[in-house]
Amino acid sequence: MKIEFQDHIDDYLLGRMSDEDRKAFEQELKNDDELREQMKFTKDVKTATKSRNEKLAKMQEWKDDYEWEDDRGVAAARYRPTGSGYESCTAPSIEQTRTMPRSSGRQYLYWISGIAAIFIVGFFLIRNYMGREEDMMFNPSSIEYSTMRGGGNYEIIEKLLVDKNYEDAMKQIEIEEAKIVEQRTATDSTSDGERRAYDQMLIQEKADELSWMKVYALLGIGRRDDAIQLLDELRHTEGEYKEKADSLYLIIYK
Amino acid sequence: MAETRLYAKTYSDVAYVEGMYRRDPVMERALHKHCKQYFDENFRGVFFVGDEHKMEIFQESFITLWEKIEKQKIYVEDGILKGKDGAPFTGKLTTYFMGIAKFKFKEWVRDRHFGLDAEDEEKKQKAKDAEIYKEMLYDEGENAMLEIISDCISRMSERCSQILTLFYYKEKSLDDIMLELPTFKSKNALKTEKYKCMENLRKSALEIYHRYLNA
Repeated sequence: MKIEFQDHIDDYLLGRMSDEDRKAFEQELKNDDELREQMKFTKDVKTATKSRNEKLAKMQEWKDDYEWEDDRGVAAARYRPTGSGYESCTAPSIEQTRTMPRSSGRQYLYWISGIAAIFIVGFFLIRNYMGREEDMMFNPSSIEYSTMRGGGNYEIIEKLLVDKNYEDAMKQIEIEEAKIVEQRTATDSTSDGERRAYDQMLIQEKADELSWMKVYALLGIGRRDDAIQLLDELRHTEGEYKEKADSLYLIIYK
Repeated sequence: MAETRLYAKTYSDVAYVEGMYRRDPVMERALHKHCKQYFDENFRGVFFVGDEHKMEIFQESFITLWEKIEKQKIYVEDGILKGKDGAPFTGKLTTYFMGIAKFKFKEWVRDRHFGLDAEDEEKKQKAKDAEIYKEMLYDEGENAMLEIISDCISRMSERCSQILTLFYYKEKSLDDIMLELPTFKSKNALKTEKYKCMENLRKSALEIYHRYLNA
C-alpha cells in the first residue's frame, strides 16, 4: 500500500477529479495491479464505513427504546461510531421522563413491582435484625460449645454485645480467637484422621460464630470497613453463617 | 403513543427479513426492538460483561445481522426464510442473532486479551478465528473481504474511526476535518494518520482474510 497512491484514489472515489485526470487515472488503474488492489480496498472501506454509519445513525434515532428501559436507574448507553470505548450517559432527567411515552399498563406494573419490592426488602431487614437478637440470646450452639469444648465465654460475649459494650466484647473475642488458634494447632497434631476432621469442623464452627459476633462488635465500635471485610469472608465460607453474612453484607454494603 | 405501540408489535421472522430488505423503517425499528428485548432477556446466560459492554456487543451484532439481510445472505423465498446455501432456517431469527452475538463476544474477549496469557491459549484462539469467520461470512464469495473490513472497522480505535467516518462517510475535506479534530496541527499530520489507519485496517483485514481462506 503506497501513500502516494492514496490521494489519487480518494479523489477518484469521492468525485474530486477533473474529467481529464479521471481518464488518466483510469488508464493507470488498468496497468497497475498494486494500484488496482489499493483502489478496491479503499472502495471497500468507503462502502463499509457508509453502511455502518447509516445504521448507527438510525439506531441513534431509536435510542428512546433504550432510555425507556433504562429508567430503572441504569445508565443509558449512547452509540458511537466505533465499538470500542462505549460511552455511557446519565439517566434521563425528570422532565425527559415525564415526556417519555409509557403505557398505563406498564406504569401499573411498575407500581405493583415497587410495592412488592418494598415488602420483600422490609421483610428481610426485619428478619435480619430480629434474628440477630435471637442469635445472640438463645443460640443453642453456644451452649453446646461451652460444655463440649470447655469454652463458656461466648455467652459472655453475647451479653456484652446485647449490653452494647462493644469494646469489652471485642477484647473477649480476641481472647477466644487466640484460643481457637491454639486448638487448631493441637488438632492438627491428632493422629486419628476421623477425629481430626471432626475436631476441625467443630473449631471452624466456633471460629465462624466468633467472626459473626466480631462483625457486630466491629460495627459497634465504628470499624465499618473491617466489619464489611469480615462479612465478605464469612459469606464466602461454607457454614451456618454463610447466608446470614451474605444478607447482612448486602444491607450494609449498600 | 400510537407510534410506540406500533414499534412494540412483534412480527414473523419472514416479515422482519422482508421488511428489512425493502428498507421499511417501521420494520427496521421493530426488528431492532425485538432483538434488543431478546438480547436483554437472554444475554446473562451467555456473556459475562457489564451493561455498557453488553450494549456494545448488541450494537455490533445487530449491524452484522442487518448487513446480512441487506446482502441477502438471509432472505425470503416463497414465503420461507433461507440462509446458507439456500437452506431453510431451522431456528428463529433471534436465535441466529444470538449466535452472531456469541461470536462478537468472543471477539470482544480476544480484543481485550482476557484469558490469553498462555501462548497455547492464543494459538487455540487463533484457530477458532477461522471457524468464527467462516461461520459468520457464510460463504467464500467475492464480498468476503468487504465483510471482514466491516468487522475490522467496528474494532478500530476511536480516533481512526472518527477520521475515516469524517472522510469517507461525511466526505469532508482534510481542512474541514482539522477543524473538527483540532489535535491535528497540520494537514500532513492528519493525512499521515489517516494513511496509518488505512494501513493497519488493511493489515488486520488481510490477516483475517488469509486465515479464513486457509481454514
